[in-house]
Amino acid sequence: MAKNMDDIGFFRDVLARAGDIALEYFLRVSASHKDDKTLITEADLAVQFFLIEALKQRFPDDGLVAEEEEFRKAPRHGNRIWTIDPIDGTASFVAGLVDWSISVGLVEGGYPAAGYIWMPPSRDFFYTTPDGDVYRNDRRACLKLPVAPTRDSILFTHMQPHRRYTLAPEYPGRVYCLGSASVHLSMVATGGGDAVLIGHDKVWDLAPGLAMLANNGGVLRYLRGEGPVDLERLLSGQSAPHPMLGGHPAVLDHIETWLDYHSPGFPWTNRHG
Amino acid sequence: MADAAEIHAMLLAAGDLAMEYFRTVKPEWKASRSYVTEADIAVQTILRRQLQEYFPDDGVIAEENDLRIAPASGDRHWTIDPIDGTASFVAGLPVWGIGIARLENYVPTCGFFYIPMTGDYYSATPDGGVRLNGKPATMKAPRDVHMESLMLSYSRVHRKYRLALEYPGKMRSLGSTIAHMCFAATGGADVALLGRVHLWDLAPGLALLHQNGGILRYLHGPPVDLRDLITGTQARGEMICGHPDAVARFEAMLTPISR
Repeated sequence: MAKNMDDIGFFRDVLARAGDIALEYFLRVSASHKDDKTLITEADLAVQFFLIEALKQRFPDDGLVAEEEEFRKAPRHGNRIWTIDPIDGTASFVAGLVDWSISVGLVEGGYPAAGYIWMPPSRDFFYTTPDGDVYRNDRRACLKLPVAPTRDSILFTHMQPHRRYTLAPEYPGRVYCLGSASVHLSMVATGGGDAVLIGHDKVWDLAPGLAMLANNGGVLRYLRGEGPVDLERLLSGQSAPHPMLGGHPAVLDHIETWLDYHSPGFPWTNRHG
Repeated sequence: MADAAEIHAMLLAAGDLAMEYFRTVKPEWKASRSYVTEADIAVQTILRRQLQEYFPDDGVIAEENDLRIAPASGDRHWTIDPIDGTASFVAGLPVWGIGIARLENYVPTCGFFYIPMTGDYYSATPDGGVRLNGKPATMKAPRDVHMESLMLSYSRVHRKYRLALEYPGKMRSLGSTIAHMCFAATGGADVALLGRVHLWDLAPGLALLHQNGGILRYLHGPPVDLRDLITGTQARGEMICGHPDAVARFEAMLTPISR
């Protein structure tokens, strides 16, 4: 317990500093409102470099995988691997919108064990430790009650769901797309929504939010009965093989009945990642 | 007469008040089936008082309790949306805000929107133009629809419209009508689709859009006339806003669902 409390303090500090680095770039991007790829890459690399050094120092035995430049470091001992997504939601970052995050996850023996997600513009901090409790800004948080979807249900989706499936008009609730899988997962894990539809994302997009979801009794599973998402198989950094749904399993059963696929083969291709 | 700095200060204070409620708010149901919260009422009350103090001749039209105050003289009204994006607010999502607008003969000439979670402040005035955080802000030049195109949408579009499979761009739904209109008016997005909302949801963003050369019209239909909405009725259909050329291109990607 004491060790986990130390980790929380460590991540609160490190993610806030990483956020300050990102915000310096963010203000320049949003001031110009231009699609400046160079600035994004610079921001991604600066944040990632900072986090890698901080994690290496604190957890010298653990492995690391990070988004930019396919950074990989195998564990020296044990089976713990940290995932780093320096800026999840780059499209939001570019557009000057608020819902991007800096996300760090811990995969232990293939299972999501901990997650820390920091949203710098709104100063939102979501986290869970291997102890199992899930917090948003230091307040314990849980899943919404798993009732059948109503007019007030919230489904989060990725940005191009129309290319793969149609959500039937009979789904009675709201659809939001804030632009970052990490943020969507942590919102659902902490009761800010009922379910999340995710495309072919990668381990650093999934691990931190999935740790929160799993610790609160939720699941992340591939669509059409393809089984639970196994992070171990994604640790080399490839895209998830299928789209997936996260939330309480009873709610996901309902949501799946409202998803129509354009064609049997189409949804499983990964042309638009 | 209040100046721009006083309006800004008024919205900042209203935002601070809303933030106090943000993480603890408990929704109640109201007749229109949207959420009402103590925060809505508290924010509207302080804004109404201050607007009436600053602009004693102007009328007020506001969301909560269907508030209508006729102008003491002249034909100017203020609209107040104390919390636009109440469902987001209740769910704890980041994009919601406080919007006010001044109508002259039912045309929005000034619009203001403040997003407390991020501190972003949008304004449009006849002499100051359209600004984001004090800096002039312009609309995106219309381009062909492409992979980086961004369409913002209200949260129930799937119930009435189908987006063409061929649409190559992105669709996002952040949960606040005024925020979507402000983003479309200041280059953050190409267009925004709006549900059947009310006068106070439309007026602030429309002031920004008009000054930057944008339009608001019913989907596949005529321009929106705010006069139709003065009595507090919902818009009669879904709407789209943005640069006129962009509106035409994106509209072509949407087909009504026959049920």
